[in-house]
Order: sequence, then C-alpha cells, then structure tokens
Amino acid sequence: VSVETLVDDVIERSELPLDRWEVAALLESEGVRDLDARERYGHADVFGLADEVYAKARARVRADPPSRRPPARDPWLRRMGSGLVHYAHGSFFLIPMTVQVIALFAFGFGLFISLDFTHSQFTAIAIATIASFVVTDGFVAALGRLAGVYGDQGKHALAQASAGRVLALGIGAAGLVAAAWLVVAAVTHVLFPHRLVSVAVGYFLLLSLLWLSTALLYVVRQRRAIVLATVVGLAAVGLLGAAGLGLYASQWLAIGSAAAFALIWGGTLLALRTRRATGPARLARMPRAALLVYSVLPYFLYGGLYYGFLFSDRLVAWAGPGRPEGWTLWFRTPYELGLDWALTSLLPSIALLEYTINRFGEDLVPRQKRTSGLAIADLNRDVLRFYRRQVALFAVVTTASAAAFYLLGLWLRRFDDVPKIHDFFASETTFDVHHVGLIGYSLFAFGLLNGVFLGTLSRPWLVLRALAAGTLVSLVTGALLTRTLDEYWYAAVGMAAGSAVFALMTTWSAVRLLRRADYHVYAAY
Amino acid sequence: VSARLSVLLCTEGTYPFVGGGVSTWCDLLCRELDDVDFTVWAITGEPEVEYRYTVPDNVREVVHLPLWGTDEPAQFILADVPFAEILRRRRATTPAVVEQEFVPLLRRLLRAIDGAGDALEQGRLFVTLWHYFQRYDWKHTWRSEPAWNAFVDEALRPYRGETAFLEVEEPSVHDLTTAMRWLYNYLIELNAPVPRVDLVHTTIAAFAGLAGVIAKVEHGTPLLATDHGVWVRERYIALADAGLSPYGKRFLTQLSALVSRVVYAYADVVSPVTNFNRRWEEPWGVEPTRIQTIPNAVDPQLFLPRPKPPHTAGRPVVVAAARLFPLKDIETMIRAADVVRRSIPDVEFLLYGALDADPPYVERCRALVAELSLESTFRFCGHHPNPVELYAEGDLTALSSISEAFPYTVLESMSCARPVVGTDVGGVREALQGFGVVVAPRDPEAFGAAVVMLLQDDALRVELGRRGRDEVLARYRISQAIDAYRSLYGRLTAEGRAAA
Repeated sequence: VSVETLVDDVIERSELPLDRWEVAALLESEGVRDLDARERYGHADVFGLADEVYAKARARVRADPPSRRPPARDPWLRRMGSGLVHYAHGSFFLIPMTVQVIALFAFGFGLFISLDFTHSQFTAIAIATIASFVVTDGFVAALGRLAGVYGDQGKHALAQASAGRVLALGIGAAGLVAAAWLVVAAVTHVLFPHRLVSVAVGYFLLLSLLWLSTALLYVVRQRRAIVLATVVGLAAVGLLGAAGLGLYASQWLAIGSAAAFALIWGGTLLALRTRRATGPARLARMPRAALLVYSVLPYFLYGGLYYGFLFSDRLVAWAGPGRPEGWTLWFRTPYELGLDWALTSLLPSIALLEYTINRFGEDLVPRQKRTSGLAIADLNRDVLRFYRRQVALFAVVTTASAAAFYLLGLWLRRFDDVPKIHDFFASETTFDVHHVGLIGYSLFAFGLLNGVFLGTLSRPWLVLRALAAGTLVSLVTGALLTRTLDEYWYAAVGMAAGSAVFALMTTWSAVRLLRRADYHVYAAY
Repeated sequence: VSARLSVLLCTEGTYPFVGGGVSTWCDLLCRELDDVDFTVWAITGEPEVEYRYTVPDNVREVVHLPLWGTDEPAQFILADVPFAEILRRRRATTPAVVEQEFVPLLRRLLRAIDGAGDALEQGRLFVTLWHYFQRYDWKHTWRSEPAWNAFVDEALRPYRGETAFLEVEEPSVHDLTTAMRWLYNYLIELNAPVPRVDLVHTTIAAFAGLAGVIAKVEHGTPLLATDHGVWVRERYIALADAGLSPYGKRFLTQLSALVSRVVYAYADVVSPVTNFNRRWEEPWGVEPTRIQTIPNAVDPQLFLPRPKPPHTAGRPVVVAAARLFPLKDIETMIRAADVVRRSIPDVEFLLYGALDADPPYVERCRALVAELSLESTFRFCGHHPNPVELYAEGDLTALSSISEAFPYTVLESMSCARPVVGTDVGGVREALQGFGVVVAPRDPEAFGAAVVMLLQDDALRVELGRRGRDEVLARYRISQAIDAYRSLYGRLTAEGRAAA
C-alpha cells in the first residue's frame, strides 16, 4: 500500500484531517503498525508516518478544498404543500367548535347551551362556563407541557403519572372553587339569585371535568377523539331529551358521558403505552416536585390568564349598567353576538399561527447552517425578514377574513324575515361591538403571533407578562369607560385597549429577540 | 478519621450502568478491594439508565451525572442541594456577574481548547470554573447573553483576517450554537459538588477525570488514572468517523484533547492495562516515571482448561469471541477461513458475539460468507450463554482485530490452555509472544497459514496452550492485579498524607 493510498484512506474517513494525532489514530485503526511504518514507509514509527500523511493530505485538501454543503431548500411547491398541511392542522380546533354550532342551529341545543334557556339561565350558565375555563385551563396547559412532552419522548410512565397528578389537582381545584362558590352564595347575594346557584355550580363542575378530560386526548395526540367525544355528548343530550329527561339533567349526563369517554379513551391509551413501553425511556424518573413546578409554572399561569383575558371584557360588560335587580352580572346578548361575529372573523388568522410555528421551527436550523459565523448579522436580518413576512401574511389573512365575514353579515341581514337572523341583528350594539371587537381580537391574535416566536425561543415569561398587563388594562379601562360613560358595551373598548397593550409588548419583545436571533436561538434550551 | 480508605471511582459511560469490559473490571475492583469505601462518580450520556451490576456494600454511593436529556440538569447534578439554594444561585446569576466573573474564564477556556497554555495552568482554569459554579447557576450562566457574545467573539478570533483555515472550516452559526451547547453538556460535572475522599481513581482520562483534578488542586488528593484504551486516541477516531461539520469535529476533538491532557498532567500515576498504551501516553505529557502498567487479568479458576465438548470433539474447530463491528475485521477472519479450508476441508469457525452492534456490518459479513460458500465452515453463533466454556469448544482461538487495547479474549483463551492466533495490534503481541501466533492485521493468507500450522501440529498446539496457561497463572491472575492496585492506593495516599 503506497503512502498516497494511505492519504486517500485518511481523507475518505476524515474529510479534513485535523493534525498528526488524528492521522496516527486513523492509521493505527487501519492496522498500520510501527513495523509497517519502518519496513514499508521508512519512518521510525506510525507517528512519523502520520506526519507525512498529514502534510500530504492537508496539501491535497488545500489544493482542492471541499466546498460547504449548505442544506438545500425544499422546492417551492413542496414548501407550499407542507405549509397547507400545517395550516389545515392548525384549523383542526375549529371542528369540535363547528360541530357544536351546527348542533345549536339544527337542533336548538349544544352540550351546555340551548336556545330554550331563559336569559337568567343563560347568564348563570355562561358565568359557570367562563369560570370553568379560567379555573381549568392552567391545568390543561400544564398537562400538555408535562404529560404531552413526556409522551412524545416515549416516557409513557411519566406521562401517565403526571397526567394523573395534574388531573387530580385540576379536579381538586374545581371542587374547591365550587365549594367556595356555594358557601359565598349561601352567605351573601352576589352574582345572581339563589335558585340558579346550584345549576351554575353543576355546570361549572361538569364543564371543568370535560375540559380536563379532553385535554387528556390532546396529551395522547388523539385529536379526532375529541370530535367523537363532542358527538357522543351531543347525541346523549338529544336522546335523553327525547326520552323525556329535563334539559339540565340531559346536558349534565351528556357532559358527564363526553368527559367519561375522553377519560377512559385517554387513560386507557396512556396505560397501554406505559405497559408496552420499551427502551431506556421507560426508566425515566420524575424530577423533584419543586423543579417540576418551577418549569411548568409559566405554562400554568398562561393557561389561566389566556381565558382570563378573553373573558375580562365580558365580566366588565355584564357587570355594567342596565342589570336587573339581584344580578351582579347580567348576560348581554347583543354584546355576545358582536364578539362572536368578530371572533369568527379571526379564526383563519388563528389557524395561521400553527403554520408560522412550524415554518419558523423548520427553517431555523437550515438558516443557521447556511450562515457563516463571520456573518452573524445576516442571520438576524434573515430572521427579521421572515418575521416581517409573517406579519404581512397575518395582516392580509386577517383583513381579508374580516372583510369577508363582515360582508357575509351584511348580506345575511337581507333575510330579515328569518327569525334567527332578525334576532341576530336586532341591536345596533352588536355592530358597535363587532367593530371594536374586531380591532381588539385582531390585535390580540397579532400578539399571539408574536407569542409564537417568543414561545419557540423558550421565553414564556415575556408572553405571560404582556398578557397580564393586557388583562389588567382591559379590566381597568373597561370598568372606567362603562362606569363614566354609562354604556356597558364600552367594555369592548377596554378589551381593545388591553389587546393593544398585549400586542405592543409582545411586538417589542419579539423584535428585540429576533434582532439577536443568533443568541436567542442558541439560548432556547 | 476512618481507618478505611475512601476512593472516588470515576467512570464514563460504563460502571455500573453499562455492561462491557471496563465495567466488569470496575465491578471486580470494588468487590475485591472490600477494605476500601468507594464512591462511584458515574457520567452517562442520558439519564435513563439502569444498574447492570449489583454494587457491593463497600460502594457507599453512586453519584450519577447524565450529560444530556434533562431540562433542568440540577435535577441530577445538584440532587442533594435544596431547591431554595438552587433558586438563590439562579437569582445571583445576573448578566453583570456573568460578564465580570464568568466571561474572562470562558475566554480563557476557549483559548485553552485552541491549545494555549500548559496543562497545569489549564487544569487550574477548570478548578476556577468549578468554584464559580459552586456559587452560581449552571443553566443561567451558559444561557446568558454576555456568555454567548464572548463565546462567539472568541470562537471566531482565529478565523478573522488572514488565516490558514479554509473557508469550509469556518464555523456556521449552527456550529457555534452547537459548540457552546456542547460545553454546557460535556462540562456539567463542573457544577457538581465533589466529595472529599482519600484518593481519586479515574478509569478513563476523560471528562470524568476532571473530578480528580479538582480534588487534587483543592485538597491535594492523589489522582490515579487507569487507561484501558487511550481515550484521546479513541476520541480522534470516533470523531473523525462521526460525520460532524469541520468546525464541530475540530472543536469537540480539541475539547477532548484538552481534558485528556489535563487529567494526564494531574495524575500522580497513570496505569495502562498494556504497555502498548504508553506510545500515546508519553507524547501526551505523561513522563515514563509516572506510568505503571497493571495488565488486565482473568480468574484462572473460572477459565479452566477443559476437554472439547461432544458437539465439537473430533473436528478441527477455531473459536472467536468478538462483537461484530468493523474494528474486529471479521472479514479478514472469514477470508482466512477460506484459506484454511483449502488445506483442512472439515475445519469449522465458530464466531461468538452479539450481532446487534452494527447490523449493516453483520450483513456485509454474511454476504462474504455466502460469496465464498463458507456457510458450513463459518458460523455466526451469537452471544454465548457461558463465556467460560466458550474457548473449550475449539482447538484454538482467533482474533482478527485491526485495533485493540489489551483484549480479554486473549487472556481468557490462554487461561483455558487454547493458543491464540491474533493480529499484531495494541497489546496483543505483548500478551501472545511465545504463547500463540502473531500475524499482521488485514492479511488473510498469513492468518490462515498460522491457523493451518497450529491445527496440523498437535504437539505444538498443546505445548503453546500449556505455556499460555502457565503465563496467565504467573502474570495475569486477578489477585495480582488487585494487589497491584491495593499497593498503589496505599502508596499514593501515604505520599498524599506526607505532602499534606
């Protein structure tokens, strides 16, 4: 074997030989001995031979350097395709929602809503629904963060254990809130009349259970089962109602069965996966509680605050002027319709977030690989450009969808002889709320878009801070406006102001981080 | 003061969580030296590991330090530190502290990785870093912006302006990101409280040995480093083959080289298991006076000469014990089997060893067997249920590796009075000269000829077997190796006390 062949072999294994030691180690690992170095190549030992081979290899590499191989970009069409898949994925949350809306219009009832409810019932159950979201969603977020991630890592025993604990804590918290509610209602007369307290608490408890158990289906990545649970629940309401059971009883049994369905499905799957787990992941142990709480805390708080913000203006509006005697909070139909109309316009933008998360995540490493460390500013410019494009895309989608849904509303209004449509547009307030709500929700969704970047860069506290500030501004501004101007729907202006604060703070954070994307991507661990 | 000696036994990817030669050696050491209290300082890759060995009672504690796989490394590294203290450190780790106290150390570390300074100075740098991390938070320090800025600045310094580097060797942003996270992971031991002991015995001159450097500088604790293979040499090979980017390979290789050099520099004694390792140890800074070879050893009461069992008796049989992967060069053994068959048609090669280490390689070997129509001559037998009976099945044992340290299979076969035909790599010649046949690696003709010669000369084969057994009894008994370590422990701690 000639020296040149040795050089070939070394370059074949180590594209760019580092030093004599690497070459000597490689030669030895090919079975070249001191004896061979002496007898065949005229060197004292392998190290001497390595010096010659290294010098020759280096000269050869220098004369004909291998080129950088930056990762190739996917063709345009494929990127487009994967983008659409992400978008469709992001739209999935619409399905269970749509199922409920269709049921409401087709049959006049949903899982926890009915067109037969009186205004008082609406109010009580709406408060219960909001409370259930606010109380449980911290636990839902913690479930996703802990059990969901453990499950993805194949640590199914940990997923099962943490899911069990968080569910128990969530149910416990809901129970405590329910008990406190009953006690407070027994002693004082806040909120609403006594006869509805037990109804509200009943809905609150069951809905809390439902949100927690469907979260389990997200944990086991069985989103389709959530649709199934919803359908099971709706069918139960219909069947029980047809069988002559009262509305409350039907809905409670239905929510209970949907929750049970989700719990059994998710729980069984977790247990099965735990039992079947193989490989080292099954040996994983749970970190000590303090560390666990420490790392989950921002996600927990985010879950609660998210709904806290979304419902902050409703609370202000419902507590605003124009309530009947004995009601601290009073459900406002025109307000709700205006907000729902505005929210519907934002759904296509919300689905866009999933696309942005995935595109950002997918492009990050190739982007880093393409950019030389000596041109680190290029990376940051590149990432900022991506951000601006996402903002533009968001603006286009939001504007188009807002216009489309607004025009749809105006067009529907022409069928004023259809009672449901007539009722929908009965109040001018609905329009006012829609306009302000649209601005508010657009800003809020824009804040969430920023949140996508902050979350991917592992800075949940920045989102949380902005959300807390936004909620506070929404409550304070809303309260001030409704009280001083004596118009309950100005709560929506408060919400818009809070959203503006949320959007501003997250934009500031996102831009600040993306300007130093090199650092913040590094530090996202 | 306890009369019992306390020893910190540093392992990396081995005892007590991973099986293999080094782990078995550790297990033996702990069991036999039952008058010593051991604390095992066990670095592993991932945290999800299980005990492969039941640790004896004199192993007082196993400190498990996983490098990867935890969001909060404090979970393992600071397992005994109260959460309040972890939080206190976290709050104390402000950007200003990082800038003033950590950044200068980080810059020095990067220059050291680039080769600046002598090994003793570099070792003190690691100890200074360790001191810093006994007060401040690991994760917050490494994740901080001043640290990243300093890292990038220092890492790019050699690549700015006129340099000898090719463009392809420049780090990408991804390279820089990965490299700094490597420091975060590989050096995590610098965050751990190092127990106070009488002696540190590292089983590898690698990251695990840094605990010994710290103990030495802090308390004058003596440090013994056993070299099974030479880690830095193995690291060069593994990283060359790992498919890293040019910068990534350079960075990680240089980091490993730095750590190895520092451990060598601070070791009072380096004890290779074969003299062959000296060829690397000496140029890597270990003076010959600090090297004391303590060869691997076997239990001759377990590996006894036995007659061939009925299923191989009456046929010429060659056995081999090797996990199937390229360094074992099984292909040469297969070709040699073809050579042997020409003279001895009924010869049989039985290869024992796990087939799961490198499945594509196993396929290549099987294909070669098929190509040479050796199916009835060369058999892949998988894992042997009882290794002590393995060698008795054959008339002689084959070892075709292209790289070895001091293979147990040679000693075990000799102990069973079965001569070995082995390749001239690592410590094989040292063990086999006069007791077997040594041939050049990658030479099937020579290998085959040696096997034929031994199979046809019964007297010589029996004689070599007998002499090999005698040699094991004379030089490679476990009790001898254990005695050597015991007296080394005694000598080093006595010297340590005298110095203190």
